[in-house]
Amino acid sequence: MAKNKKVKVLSVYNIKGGVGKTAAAVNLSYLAAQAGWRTLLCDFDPQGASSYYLRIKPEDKMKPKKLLKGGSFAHKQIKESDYPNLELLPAHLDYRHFDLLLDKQKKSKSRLRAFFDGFAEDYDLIVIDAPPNITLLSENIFRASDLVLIPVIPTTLSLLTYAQIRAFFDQEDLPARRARAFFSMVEKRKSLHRETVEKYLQEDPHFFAVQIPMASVVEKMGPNRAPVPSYAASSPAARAYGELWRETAAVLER
Amino acid sequence: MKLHDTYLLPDHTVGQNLIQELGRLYPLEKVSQAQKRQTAFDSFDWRLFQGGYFLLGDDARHFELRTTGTDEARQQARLPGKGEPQFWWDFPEGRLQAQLKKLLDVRALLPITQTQQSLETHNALNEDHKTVLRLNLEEVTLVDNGKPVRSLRHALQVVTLRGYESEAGKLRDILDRLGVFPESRPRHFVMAALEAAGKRPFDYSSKIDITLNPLQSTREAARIIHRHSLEVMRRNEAGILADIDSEFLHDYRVAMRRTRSALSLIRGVFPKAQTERFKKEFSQLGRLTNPVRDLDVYLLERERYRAQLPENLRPGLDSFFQDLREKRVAAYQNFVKGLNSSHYKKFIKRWESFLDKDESPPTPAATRPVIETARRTIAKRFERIYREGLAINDLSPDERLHELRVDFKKIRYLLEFFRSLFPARDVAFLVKRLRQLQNVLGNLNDLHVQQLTLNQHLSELSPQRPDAIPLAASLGVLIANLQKEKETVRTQFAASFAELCEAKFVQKLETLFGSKATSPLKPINPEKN
Ligand SMILES: Nc1ncnc2c1ncn2[C@@H]1O[C@H](COP(=O)(O)OP(=O)(O)O)[C@@H](O)[C@H]1O
Ligand SMILES: [Mg+2]
Repeated sequence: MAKNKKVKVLSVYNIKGGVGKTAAAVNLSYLAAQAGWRTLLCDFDPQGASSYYLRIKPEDKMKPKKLLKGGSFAHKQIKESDYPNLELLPAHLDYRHFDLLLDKQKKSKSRLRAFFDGFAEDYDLIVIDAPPNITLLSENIFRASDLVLIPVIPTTLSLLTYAQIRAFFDQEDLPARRARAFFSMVEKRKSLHRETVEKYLQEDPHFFAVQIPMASVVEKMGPNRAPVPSYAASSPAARAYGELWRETAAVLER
Repeated sequence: MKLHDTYLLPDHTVGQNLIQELGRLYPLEKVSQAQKRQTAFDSFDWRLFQGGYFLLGDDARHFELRTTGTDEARQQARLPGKGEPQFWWDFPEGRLQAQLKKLLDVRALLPITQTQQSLETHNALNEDHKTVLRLNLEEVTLVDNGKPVRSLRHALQVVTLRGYESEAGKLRDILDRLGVFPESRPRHFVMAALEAAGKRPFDYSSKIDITLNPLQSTREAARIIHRHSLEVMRRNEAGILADIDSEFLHDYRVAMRRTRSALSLIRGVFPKAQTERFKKEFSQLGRLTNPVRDLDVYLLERERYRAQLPENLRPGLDSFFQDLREKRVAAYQNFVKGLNSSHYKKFIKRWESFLDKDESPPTPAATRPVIETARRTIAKRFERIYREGLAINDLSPDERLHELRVDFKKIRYLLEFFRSLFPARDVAFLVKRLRQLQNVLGNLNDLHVQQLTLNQHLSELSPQRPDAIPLAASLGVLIANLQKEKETVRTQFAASFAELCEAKFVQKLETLFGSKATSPLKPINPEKN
């Protein structure tokens, strides 16, 4: 088991929106916290869906530049969720300017890891709900992460985007094993979904075995404003997220 | 990380009234009422407490490691299955398991207190229905033998949520105005439970903790040393009989060896005939414990052995360990029979009353101030170690190193017996330097013994056994590995011994115990020859 003095960083990323990133980030954070990992979920998507699900609003006085410096200002932005071991760095519209900000800094591609290391004392795991698009911020996130999880809907278009991300890792000399994928919003009754999943699970070693089904309990995160396992623990979707967490933890603990 | 204030209350009604009062000033929602039983755990020698923790488990099988000084939860996990956990490996893989492994090593967990906690939780919610503050009305009762026996405390806890400090602040102000003030140093109720149950943390340690007066007679000091070891032996008997973990027997044996060493190293303090008789009886007792301990050592090493073997040879090893476990059952039963025998009980009684009542006429060695005896005895042992150690080279047989190991152990015991007579920092310095060499010699001995046992097992192996071939193959690999390891360890010996010959160490010995201690290091005057 991990001797990790260092905090682990897990990011959930895709260039596309609407693929289940936020759903995965929130449910994984919740499950990690339940498993005893002191977890900080960073909602870096200015839209703030993760924050919304945890019923948390950001402070008005957010200053991304000050935040990036770490230290007490950064710590003061953090909010405790309603669940043990789970805290949140809420989203803020000003995160849109992260890119410009990073661009002006030294080591602009790896600035973020230092920021996270500033939280090493307080957390075992940092989960990032990353914004879509390939930007300097996303590259920073890749470099800062121990594992980048990519939710992929089993459709042709989605897989094209997935290939783009792999190409980017390759081009930027990022280790290929750092990016792992899992199938999201899978509809078993669609033959295209079934066939695609089967093919990729056989051919691409970067895919986790678990598949997150398309399910209305996941959609209910919106009206319920809560992680799936907290209100539908025995639903197939909650079990799938449980399996996703086990596979993720196994990678993080290696 | 979690901040909370605890307000101690005289009884439950006061708490209820307070909540009602607060509810008028602050929107509160009663969310849950729960009752749970908790058991706190630590090892017999308080290893978790030593590390600043204890383990708390509840009837929903939720376990958490909590800090003793402050009141904070650290690693936690839910335990699957049934029954109480005993060892770190009974916990699911994860942070709690890793931390317990580090703290407990091979020791078992024992329940230290049982409590029942009734908890009524009220949350304050904001407009998003997000919890911004928690109030717990708590009653804790001490449980003994499954029955609640007495109330330990009533309390109101105000739990601050990170990022929502101002909400908690407001509530605290209200409580202030009502004239209710928080506990200044929050303690977990397990501390109160320990107190109420009359249990003292650190009431057992395998370490020698005795204070001698430099001018008291050597005989009086020897009695104190022996009584201490006897106490350690007796404290471990119950754990051995219940077969809780391997360390009860281990500590028991260490105490017994200390007794034997003290009997032979601190010479002439008791009548010769009796000393000899007790020495002989303690040796017999020691022999009775050997088989169990040897097998325990093996069984503890199982994972290390497995890791050395390729996958296909592991089944062979498994049947080897199955054999060992069977042998251990027999050896253990034999030892327990000894421990329960009237012969053993009489022997211990005799030893005890000898220590209390011996009135034999004092000899010069017995009346000598213990500080003098300590200096002399320790110097003599060091002299011997230097003499023997300098004579060892690459060609010396293993046996010579084993003899040296025994000598080192004796020094170690003497330093432990007489620790209180010398400056603590000096003793710590010596012990630290010696430990390194002792580890090297200890490893060598372990490897040697393991090799012997494996060889014996191999020669006793019946070729008729269905698993004879895989078993022999796996034993062969292990024996070869042990040989290689032994060679590495022997090269470490020379380096460690050289450190004991360095000026700083030598000078310290001479100041503390006199120049005789290091005499073999001085060049021999050639003209004298
Ligand atoms: N497995 C699923 N089954 C059904 N709906 C889902 C599932 N995963 C996500 N959704 C819904 O799809 C929408 C987009 O999901 P979201 O997690 O916000 O994606 P992203 O963060 O990638 O934009 C949300 O309305 C969400 O409730
Ligand atoms: Mg999103």
